[in-house]
Amino acid sequence: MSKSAADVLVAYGLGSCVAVSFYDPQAKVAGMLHALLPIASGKGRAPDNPSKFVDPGVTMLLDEVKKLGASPQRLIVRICGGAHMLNAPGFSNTLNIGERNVEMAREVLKKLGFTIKAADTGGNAGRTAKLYVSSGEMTIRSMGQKERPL
Amino acid sequence: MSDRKETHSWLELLANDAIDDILREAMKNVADNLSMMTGREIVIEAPSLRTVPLNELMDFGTDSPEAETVGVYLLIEGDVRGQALLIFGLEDAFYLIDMMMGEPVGTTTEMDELAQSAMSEIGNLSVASFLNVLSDRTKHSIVPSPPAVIIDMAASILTAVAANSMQFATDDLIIFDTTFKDADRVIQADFWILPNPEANILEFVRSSH
Repeated sequence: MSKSAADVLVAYGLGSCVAVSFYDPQAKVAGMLHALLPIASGKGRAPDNPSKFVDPGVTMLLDEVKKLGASPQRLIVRICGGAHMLNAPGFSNTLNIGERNVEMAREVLKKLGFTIKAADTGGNAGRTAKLYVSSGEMTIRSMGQKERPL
Repeated sequence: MSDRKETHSWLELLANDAIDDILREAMKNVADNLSMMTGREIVIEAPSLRTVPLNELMDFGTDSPEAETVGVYLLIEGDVRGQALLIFGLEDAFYLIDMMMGEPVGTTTEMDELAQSAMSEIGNLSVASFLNVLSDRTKHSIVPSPPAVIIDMAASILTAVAANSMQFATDDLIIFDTTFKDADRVIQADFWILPNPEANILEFVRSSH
């Protein structure tokens, strides 16, 4: 997260990972979560880094941007990522983690009362997401393509 | 997942006294078979075995997370289960394909269907050659699935495969940093084995080095 105008928040090469971004255009506060898995569920161990999970990562990010002066009512919420990378024939037993990440992000954001302003999710290709703190603009780029606005 | 009973298999397998020797032999088998396939003398530099905790994965290889990369991905089935991933930079992949097809270097310039099929053969042969030695020497049944070729940013491929491991609560990835060489060129490759599920590979590596 950042409130420094010169900063650009970047999530490089999101594959099945999902990025959730918050931006308060008035306070110019930005935050981006880069989550690997939907939920930090108990498998007999506490996750070393809860922010790698959509749940509780989104809530943690919200707390952080609020600390920097963002108001939840003003937040612009965008999500991207969640590609299905490992979808070759014969891999039916590899679950579609990308899809589950996106579903979890939507569910958590809905519970928190947010509307998603823009989303670029699913598909089979990885993405790099950038959030420009000064303008609140966000871009997506996939391999071999140009940056496009989200 | 009902994988509990296999929890210790990777551990047993890698706790073998002769593991360094087995890994060397496995890599040599990969090199020999690749040489046969390409008709070039391919050498694989001594692989260094190391582990990357999943939690550090996103910081791993961040030099060029957007690098255009070709990954060949297989599932490992049998007594021990997991995933295998062999990763080349795009240019190195083109070079390997040209060698395999007997074309002048520079012929392949995009990952079209033919190129993907060639990469899938290269990955299949490499991983199978590796696992065959592991299987023979440890008397475990270890069988690779058919390969999938993924062309994408390095970080996208790595994290997708890691996430797939992590859902089984694996703590660490095993990585063999390898360099493939022929007379003309050095090809950097990462060869990953991702055990499935909770074998504590890190403990093993620490205790054996």
